[in-house]
Amino acid sequence: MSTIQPFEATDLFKLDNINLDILTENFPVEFYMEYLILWPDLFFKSLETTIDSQVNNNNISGYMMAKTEGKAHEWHTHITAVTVASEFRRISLASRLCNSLEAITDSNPHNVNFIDLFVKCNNDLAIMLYEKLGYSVYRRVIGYYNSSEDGYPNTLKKVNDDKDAFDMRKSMQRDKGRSTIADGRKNKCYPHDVKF
Amino acid sequence: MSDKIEAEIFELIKKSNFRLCNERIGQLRRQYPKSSYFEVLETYIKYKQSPTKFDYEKLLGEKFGINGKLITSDLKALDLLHTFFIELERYPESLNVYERAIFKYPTFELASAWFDKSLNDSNFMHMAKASLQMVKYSNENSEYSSYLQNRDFNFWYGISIAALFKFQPHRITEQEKRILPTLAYKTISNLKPFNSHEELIVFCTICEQLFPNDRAKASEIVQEIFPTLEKSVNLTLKNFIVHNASIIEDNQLLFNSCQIILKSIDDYDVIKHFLRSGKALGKSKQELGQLILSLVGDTRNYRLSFLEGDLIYDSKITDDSLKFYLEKFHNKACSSIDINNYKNHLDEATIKSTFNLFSSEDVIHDANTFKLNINDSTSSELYMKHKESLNSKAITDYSSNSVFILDLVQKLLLKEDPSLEDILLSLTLLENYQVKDEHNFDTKLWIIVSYMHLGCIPIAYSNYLDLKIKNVQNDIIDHLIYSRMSTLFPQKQHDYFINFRESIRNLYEGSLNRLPQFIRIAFERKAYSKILGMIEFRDKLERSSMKWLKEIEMLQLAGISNDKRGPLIKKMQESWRNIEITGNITFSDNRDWSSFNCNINKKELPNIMRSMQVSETAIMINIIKELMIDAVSTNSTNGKIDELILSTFNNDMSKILEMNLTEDEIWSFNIIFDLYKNNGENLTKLLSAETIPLSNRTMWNLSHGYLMKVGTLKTLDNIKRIKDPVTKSNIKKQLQDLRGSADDLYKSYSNKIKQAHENLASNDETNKLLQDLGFVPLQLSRITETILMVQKTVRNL
Repeated sequence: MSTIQPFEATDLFKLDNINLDILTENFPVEFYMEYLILWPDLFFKSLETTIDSQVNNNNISGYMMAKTEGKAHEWHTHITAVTVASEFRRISLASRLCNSLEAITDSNPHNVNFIDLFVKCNNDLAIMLYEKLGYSVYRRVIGYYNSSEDGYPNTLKKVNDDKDAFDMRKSMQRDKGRSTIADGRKNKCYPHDVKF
Repeated sequence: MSDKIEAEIFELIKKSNFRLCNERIGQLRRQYPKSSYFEVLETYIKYKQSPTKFDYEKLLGEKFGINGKLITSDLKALDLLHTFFIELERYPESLNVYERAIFKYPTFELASAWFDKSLNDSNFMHMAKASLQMVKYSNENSEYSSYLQNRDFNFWYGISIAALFKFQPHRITEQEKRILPTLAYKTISNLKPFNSHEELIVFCTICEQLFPNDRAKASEIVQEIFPTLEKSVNLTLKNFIVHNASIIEDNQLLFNSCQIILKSIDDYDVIKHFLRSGKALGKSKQELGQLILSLVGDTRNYRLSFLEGDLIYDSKITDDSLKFYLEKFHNKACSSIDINNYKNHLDEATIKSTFNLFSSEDVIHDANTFKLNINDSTSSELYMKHKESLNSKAITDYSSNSVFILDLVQKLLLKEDPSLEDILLSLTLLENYQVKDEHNFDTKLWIIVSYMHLGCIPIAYSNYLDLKIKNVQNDIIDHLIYSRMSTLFPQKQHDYFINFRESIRNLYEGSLNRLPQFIRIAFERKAYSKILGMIEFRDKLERSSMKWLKEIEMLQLAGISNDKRGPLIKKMQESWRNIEITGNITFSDNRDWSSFNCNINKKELPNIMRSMQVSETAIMINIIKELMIDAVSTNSTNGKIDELILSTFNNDMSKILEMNLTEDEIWSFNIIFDLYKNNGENLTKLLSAETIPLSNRTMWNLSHGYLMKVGTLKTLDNIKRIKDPVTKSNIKKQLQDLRGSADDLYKSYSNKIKQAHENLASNDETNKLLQDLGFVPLQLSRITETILMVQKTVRNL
């Protein structure tokens, strides 16, 4: 049974269950601190009340890290990371975390216009999950996941599903659909175009 | 110009060039005779020059001590005095200089500097006092005036008081326990209406924490939060209102609050309160079920709420509720965890029969029933039933087939004394499985543990690298490969050691040192709700068992490799002061064992993990040992050592040593203790004391025993205090004999592994098992080559 709780710095000691997954990024301490300080409302976790934390450290089943950015009509929430422990997958927990984020940022004091996130173009599972939640692809960011060896992209003509990202968005009511489009897979841009 | 000379002075102090140092400070004192900073610096130099001859009272105490005659407002002088007093371990004086200064020369800058130092020293009493001064003296010209107002520093005070009561109650007198909560409450209350959620959270924290279960305060909390529920969603405020509405037993308000919250957040805690308050209001279970469905939808929490509802209304779970839940979740990995939580209210037969209503074609379904002990098949039968699913799953997905493999493995490895055959068979099963379920870290962890137990550190390490452990994870999981590092594989050129060193640098010397700065920024950015957690995080990292374990291993490695101990001892002493200053001299054991999912008792690890058993007492004993070595080597005295010996052993040294150290560690400690306490009177006898002969050892214990002996003998060989030629010759001979035996010892171990491998290969039962599972025998060459690598490292020391 999950309860949605604020993330505390001390939770960083209890994330093995989630962060031992090699596809889950382990950020430096400073990165987590930045999110706790600047966006305290938007960093939270799902906690399993069926696990006794005195006996078992692994009672955090997932967490969400997000931030707000942009100005005026571009004022929005960006999902930096959402991740779920393997034992709690396929039960819509990631969706619950996203819905909770929406509830928080679609109201005071945030009142954002839309929520966005980046997902690898070949991550069909994640794309489907977000589309089910009402997100749509806004544009394709060429070379978003390029490594230093790959270098910065110098053309929008070359696509690579493993290196490009879809910028997916969901409009909030106050946005009136201004910031989203039905399917932006063919809209391409460079990584620097997605800075706010 | 004076800055340059000042910088030069500190460099000269580092190099102990005091002649030139005194010349330079003399020059500055003549140039700036009224400078209190240079006056303090001159005194500091005197101390650094002859710490044992330094007359504290005359040179410093009478001037700047608690009742000192002098008070300075010079920030640089105060900063140096702070450093000076801390080096002298006079912790109250280090912040007292600021407190005295602010009353004579009150300025915002001084108060802010005091706050910073107090935060750095984790002294929340001083933080609170400093923040009140910041309230008093903040003005529009201060550096923060563009984004912080006078009002904000009141909240800094509130959080400091909350931190004081939560983390340092030992600093509070009885009178302060009565007065401070009221003062904090009034200070914050007077600032209503609150401008933000964060301010409201400070108010609620003060009320709840400083006035626990106080109905009036609980009522105030509820009144402040309830109006915000319709307009905003805040998880911290959610917790406050639900908790405090329960305290005042206002069921209608609790019910209404939960209903509003559940519209936005699907939260099981809230659902439970919703059910309880709904029942108290006379609503039926069915009505509440419908309401929950309309609020959160058909989710896991919704379906589980039926079980909870049954317990609240009827104190027993119905078959229908269980069926309703399992209908959707029988083949989801969470169900074994969820059902396990309710097992005291369910009988096994019912769970089994309900699970059996649903298809068992899914590997997750069978894994769940297996974990709940209601599956009649064996783990190997279940693996064979589901192994084909490994071929069709996504590479990045984990398979629940690991549950069955781990059952087989744990039966072998969790025995009282697993044999070489047991470990080799386990590795066969694990390595074969890992090829098919590459990303599964459950099985990977057991591979690492098994190789560590065999003493095959390089292979264990290469598996560890696959997990990409970094940052805070180094604190919670590095114990798997770095416990007793110096006596397992002290190869300084290998990536194993380089990574060890890097992890210390990045986390404990890098990130940890930056945390006070982040906490300060949290205050400035008004992230009040996160500050207590950040403070606690910093504290746990500062006192981390893993951090101290690594410091000890570095020192032990220095002994084994004949490296300089001095800088490492100095570093350890600085780390010690960082925890001593808080008044809490205990370690924080952040090491995680729960990822093994088999109820490991960390105070008594199974034999297969014995090399990782390093208790907090063991860490303390090793600290004492290293301090004793330093005292004996440098012919110095250290009053702290005797204090630590008394508090750690409490006059029962043999028992405490036996309970916490390995045989070899006890042997080593007794020798060093004898040198320290008795001038080595019993050295000859202790050197020849019996431990299990190395020739009878295998696995990690071989390297550990060998290297503990080498390290101790080399340390003794370098100690000038040992003058007796017979003893010195004995030490050298023992070292020589030890080195001479290294090759034979490891060759013998390697032969035992080969024999165990042959025994397994000729065992019909084993062969049948491997055949049934579709597994191939383990390649032995990798293991024997690794043992050879360890042998070469060890032999060269």
